[in-house]
Amino acid sequence: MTFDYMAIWNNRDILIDGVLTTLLVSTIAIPAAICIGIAICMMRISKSRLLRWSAISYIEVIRNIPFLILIFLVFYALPFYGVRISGLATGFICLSIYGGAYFAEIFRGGIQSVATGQFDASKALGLKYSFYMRRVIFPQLYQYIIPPGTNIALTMIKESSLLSMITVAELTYAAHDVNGRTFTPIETFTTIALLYWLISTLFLKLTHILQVKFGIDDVQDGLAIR
Amino acid sequence: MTQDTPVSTPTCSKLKQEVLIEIRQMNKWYSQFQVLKDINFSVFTGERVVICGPSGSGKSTLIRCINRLEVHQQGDIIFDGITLTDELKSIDKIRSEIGMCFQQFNLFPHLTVLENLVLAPMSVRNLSRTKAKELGLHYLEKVKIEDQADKYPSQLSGGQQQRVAIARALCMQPRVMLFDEPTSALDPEMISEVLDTMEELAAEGMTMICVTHEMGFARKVADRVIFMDAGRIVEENDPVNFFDSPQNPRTQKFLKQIFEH
Repeated sequence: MTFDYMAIWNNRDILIDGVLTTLLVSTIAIPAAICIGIAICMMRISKSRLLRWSAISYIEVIRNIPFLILIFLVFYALPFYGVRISGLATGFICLSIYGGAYFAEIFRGGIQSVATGQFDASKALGLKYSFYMRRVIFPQLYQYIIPPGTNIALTMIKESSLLSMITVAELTYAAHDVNGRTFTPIETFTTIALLYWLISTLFLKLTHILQVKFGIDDVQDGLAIR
Repeated sequence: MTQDTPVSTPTCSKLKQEVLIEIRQMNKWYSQFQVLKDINFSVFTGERVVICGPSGSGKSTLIRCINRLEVHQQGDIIFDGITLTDELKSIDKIRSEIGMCFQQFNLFPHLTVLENLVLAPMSVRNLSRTKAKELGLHYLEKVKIEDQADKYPSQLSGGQQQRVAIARALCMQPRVMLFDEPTSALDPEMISEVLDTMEELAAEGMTMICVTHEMGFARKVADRVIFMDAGRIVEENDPVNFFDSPQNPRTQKFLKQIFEH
């Protein structure tokens, strides 16, 4: 069995478009998910029962249904209520909503990890809630949220492959396209796997720079097995 | 402290008899468990009160109720005529007038010493950065660590951190200082530097409520010592009578245990 490089090379435009679409969806959805995560997290820890329960419902619903079903609901079911959204927009929205639920829990976990004394000291000084959350608590969150946040962002990049099911021409869709033209499944899907690996690795490098900046190492010395 | 202070009015005659904090019939529960029972006590302006007692007796909880870090269920806490309620305005007002120091210092680790100090005056008192820095440096000088202003808390010793925490509270120019076991997390040789700072503060007439096990400090500085056990105020007296002739058997046992070592 030979590896047909030409099948890939001749269809490189389709694959490049696919990579760009995947990158586009991810670079918009990940920051959006982080913003949604912060908002939902603030609701989740709010004193108002209504806000708290709305946030809990959101998180529980999104975390407990498959991502594929979420995009099918938005793309195929909403038009029955007169809401018609393009595949790409569905992709942005669903991926952000999906990631937001996870980011909300990551932020909540981070806030709960900050020593209670920090809250005591802030309150005792008479600082207002919004002020001390912004200036005292959030700046201490990085070490708790960057590692799990990286995981979720990576998952989002890979879950975006499911958008191929609703006609978004991202990388996986492009692979199906190329495979349909050339019938070279081994070549095509190996290439796609490599491309996903490359995107993810580049993304990890990026977050590693962040981790170094905030002084978090992958493995702390005390935990390392030698 | 004078020997002739009458036992029944456990405050110094030199004080203006102006009640700053009044606690009436206060009760507090953690779900089913009652931590504070029928607490009645007042603190006069300029008075130094030391609260002691075995661990779990509710002394920390009591002072944390005064600035509403803990919520009480029954009774009244009145600070300078303002009754503590759920109303945010009164809580903010009271917290900005009451300074507090904690056992674990609770400095903000991501900010330098000076930034720790200017945060509240700028945000709560609306001071300009320059004014707040001036104020911060003034109080750092007072606690004798002005040369550490640009360091981060983790670069300081425990004693220095606690003195920064005292300076941070003083920057709000509070009318009362609450101390929650300020020396319990310190190595022995650092305890005295913190106690010295607290003594100076007392000498300047600051109203202070200290939860502490430092009986030497209590004897030297306090106008009144309160002993708590199982959520109740069991005994209160001026330090001389408190230490030399404790009335309650529980107090006698506690003091005996402390001074045995």
